[in-house]
Amino acid sequence: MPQNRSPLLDDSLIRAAVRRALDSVEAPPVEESWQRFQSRRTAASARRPRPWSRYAALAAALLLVFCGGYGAYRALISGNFNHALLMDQESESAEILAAEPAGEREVSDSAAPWPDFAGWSPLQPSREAAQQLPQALDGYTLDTAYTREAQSGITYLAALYKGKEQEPLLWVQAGTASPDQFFADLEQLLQLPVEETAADGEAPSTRLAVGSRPAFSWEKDGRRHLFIDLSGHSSPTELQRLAPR
Amino acid sequence: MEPKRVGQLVRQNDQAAQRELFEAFYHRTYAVVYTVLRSRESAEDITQDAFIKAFQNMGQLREPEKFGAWLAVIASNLARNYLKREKKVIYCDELPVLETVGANDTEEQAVGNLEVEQMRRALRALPPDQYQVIILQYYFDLKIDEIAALLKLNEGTVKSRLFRARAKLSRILEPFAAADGLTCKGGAGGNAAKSQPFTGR
Repeated sequence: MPQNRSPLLDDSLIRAAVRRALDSVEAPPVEESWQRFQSRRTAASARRPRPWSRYAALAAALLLVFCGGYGAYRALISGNFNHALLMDQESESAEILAAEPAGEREVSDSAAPWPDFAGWSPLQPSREAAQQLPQALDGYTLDTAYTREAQSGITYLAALYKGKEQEPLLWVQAGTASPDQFFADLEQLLQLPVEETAADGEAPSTRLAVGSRPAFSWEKDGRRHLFIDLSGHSSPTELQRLAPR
Repeated sequence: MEPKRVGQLVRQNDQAAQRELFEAFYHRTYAVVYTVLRSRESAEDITQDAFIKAFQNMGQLREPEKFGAWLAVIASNLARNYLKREKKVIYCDELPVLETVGANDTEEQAVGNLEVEQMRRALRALPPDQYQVIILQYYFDLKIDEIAALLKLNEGTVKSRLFRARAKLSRILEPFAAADGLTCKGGAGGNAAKSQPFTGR
């Protein structure tokens, strides 16, 4: 009768063969191995992570997720998330903002992005126009200028200035507009919320936040003016110092 | 080294005790690893890692007298992980034939060397879990219940692994056993087990 099972080797035979097989292995000298073991153990203990490091890494990761999630949430509830993604890449103001070093921008993630100048017309160079634009702003040079008529029928002028480090500053001016009308028109023209943060008593100047960016408004010669620091670096008080007397 | 002395050193576990344990168990542990890895450099690294791990976790050893076997389990597990990590799969049939017969060997030495190499090849052909139980039973002389306790398995699992390991060793060594007149047990016709030298000389 054919036998399919392999016969099993005898226990004592296996024992003898296993011992002979393993005992015949030549190991390195123990003394040398002990020296190498000592240095290896020292290196291993230096590499071993501290018990708290795992928890610290976990806490850091959770904080990162929380902050990222909170920023995204703020962007969503302020309604500017899609706007930020779809912002016109060709607009000059957007290019200026994009050219800013990321580390230097102090505007929070929730700050509204600057809109393009859709609907505004470039201001043709003329003597009259030149007289209306502030020419000598401390540390800033004129870049481009626009004009547009608001629904109120008031004509607005806007000029974009660049600082020494290309930080953008926007100047807006309207003739014969009350402060309330001026701010209402700004919201319509710039599509950004305008919030009064402080008014200087009887003085016709106001500190503002336009799209979460610092702004300063003042009246001079019957015309209302506004500075908006698009980089978000300056405070309204610093903008006030820029305003021509 | 006497088991009692091993137990004392394990409980002591200071620099001097560790050195004595290292010297006593280095060769056996290295041999267990080398048989799996077939590389002197890797075997030395893995053996040292096994000692580091053992000395760090000495408190987990329930029976200090079994330090050698416990260390062998750690070392063989590390060797298995090393093979996985390096994706080195060593098949018995693909192993290079080593120059086991030296020019100056006597006939007896030459035959002995061939047997040793054949047994090593057979051991390497075992899956890691079977290799562990074979080593623990035949090299460290542990009983079934001791192996089960060390590997945290039930005795039935250890027995079945041992049976499968012995069957595989038998299949691999069968041609040599037949040629050398090796005695087997449990074979056709109910041959009685007879303990004879490996070569049948």
